[in-house]
Amino acid sequence: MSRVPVLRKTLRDQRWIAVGVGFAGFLIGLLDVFIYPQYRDQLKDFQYPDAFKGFVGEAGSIATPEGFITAEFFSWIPLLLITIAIIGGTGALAGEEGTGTLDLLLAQPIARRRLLLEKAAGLVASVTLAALICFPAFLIGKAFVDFDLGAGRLFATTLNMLPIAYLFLALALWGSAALPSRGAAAMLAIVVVVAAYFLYTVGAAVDSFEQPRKISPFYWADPSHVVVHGFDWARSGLLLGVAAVFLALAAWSFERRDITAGGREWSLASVWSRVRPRPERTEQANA
Amino acid sequence: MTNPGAGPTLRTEGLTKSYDGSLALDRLDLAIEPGEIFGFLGPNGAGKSTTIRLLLDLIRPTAGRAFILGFDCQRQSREVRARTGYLPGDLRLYPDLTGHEMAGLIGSMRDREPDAAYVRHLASTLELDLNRKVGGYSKGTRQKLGVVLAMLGRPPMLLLDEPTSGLDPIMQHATWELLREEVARGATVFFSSHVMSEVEQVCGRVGILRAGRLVAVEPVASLKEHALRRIEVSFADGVPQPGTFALPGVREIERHATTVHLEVTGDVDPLIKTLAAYHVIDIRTEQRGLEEILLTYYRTEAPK
Repeated sequence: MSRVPVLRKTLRDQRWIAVGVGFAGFLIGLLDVFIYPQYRDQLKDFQYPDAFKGFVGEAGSIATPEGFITAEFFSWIPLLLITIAIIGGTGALAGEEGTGTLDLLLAQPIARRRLLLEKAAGLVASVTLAALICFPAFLIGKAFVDFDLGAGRLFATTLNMLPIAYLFLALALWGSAALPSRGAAAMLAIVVVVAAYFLYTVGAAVDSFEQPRKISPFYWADPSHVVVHGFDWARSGLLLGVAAVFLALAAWSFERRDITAGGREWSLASVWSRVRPRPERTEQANA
Repeated sequence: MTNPGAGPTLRTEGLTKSYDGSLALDRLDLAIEPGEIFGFLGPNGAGKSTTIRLLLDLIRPTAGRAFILGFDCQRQSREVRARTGYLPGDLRLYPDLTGHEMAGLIGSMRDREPDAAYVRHLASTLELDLNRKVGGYSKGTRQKLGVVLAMLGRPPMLLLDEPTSGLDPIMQHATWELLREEVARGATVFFSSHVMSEVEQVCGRVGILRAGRLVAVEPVASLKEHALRRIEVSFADGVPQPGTFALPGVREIERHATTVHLEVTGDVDPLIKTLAAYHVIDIRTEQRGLEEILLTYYRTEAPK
């Protein structure tokens, strides 16, 4: 008898998306390392625009292995991991509520918090698996071409993709726990990701954005910092701390609310019907 | 297996649920005794599923309390769910799992591993193939699996929301048989339905819910007693004087030269004794079905 049935079910549901995204990352990583020697000489004197700074960051130049792999791989592959996290996170509660399977699960002797944590653990494992599948690409590439960057540093930068993915996973779970519609939960998470990424990348080119940029989790997950200096426990710890807060909020929200049978349709009209001014209130105000 | 303390297996006290100000369930007071099969009847939207989902803490009451086997359905929900099997009204399963895998998933969430021989017994009684993927099941087959999942751990309390919906008559009987077996072992069954014939077959007592309010709780036998009987009597020498049939429970509806139409509630003996004094050439009688009695409850609030 499985002691963690919901975790196992989540892993089973996520396995192909995790392997698929991981394998895509693997191929992209392999390609990046293989093409680097050809681009190195051409890029040496490349005058890239300010807007590009955010993608190279502390690595300084895109002609170095650090700068190249940051710009071509680590600046955007985390977005793929975040995508799996959001798909899984919003599907976990609101998604199952919408399809109606949550009723049967929660009618079993399992605490809501426990169900949430098992699902979260399954999704963390799936995102982690996807990231780890990418890593061997660098080792294989390095064996064939001149790519002067240590395996340890590459592994640290690979691991550095995870805390920010966990953070958005926890945010998606919170949305999924608080809102009875997967669409609404996904919209919340996607808006935050896009705004945070925009603030981080565009902010790099605009001086007045230097401080506001630090609100973005992408700032604290800056891959160029890790590829140059090694794994930063403080920065990753900060992101994991925020993730833990979101997860706690998810548990708190989920514990308190009614489970709708078959979910609730979410639309602007349904929100309006809840917030619109009621005639009787106006009358009372007039009286 | 049975209630540790004496008293009802399921009890609600003023259980109320409202959504945005509209009442889905209005002060429900109910007590189901150990070993009962209790039918919970009402039209769609009367609050049957709301009641069951409140008992499982899937939704929280606006007011009132509920207890199963002495455990508070909100504060000790886990204890309640460990002892309760549930079949949702709108059953949804994972289409990518086989029947076996689905039973394995739900079984592993129970405190005790389900007995494999019992699962085989359930599946064979319901003629259910557990090796196929749920996605390929017909509606009726999914419902059979739902019945199996509810009964997996042989829980002492079964909450079944329209258990036989979508099942053919043979499978309905098979399901009732399984329920009777469990009751014989000491389980208590609470199931909702809007089909009176089903309730008539299996239930000892019924509760009738209308627009969130419990309008009647009665043994099925007494519901039948209250059933109206239409009697048409033909006389050889013409219908007797008006007033002859002014008897308790008897109402004269129509009178012709040689026939009279009467409606009788309850005991027919006084009428038969009265008729004995006349030359009766024919009696035709027709009892309204329970279905019709139920419709009367649904349409107008019956006196409590």
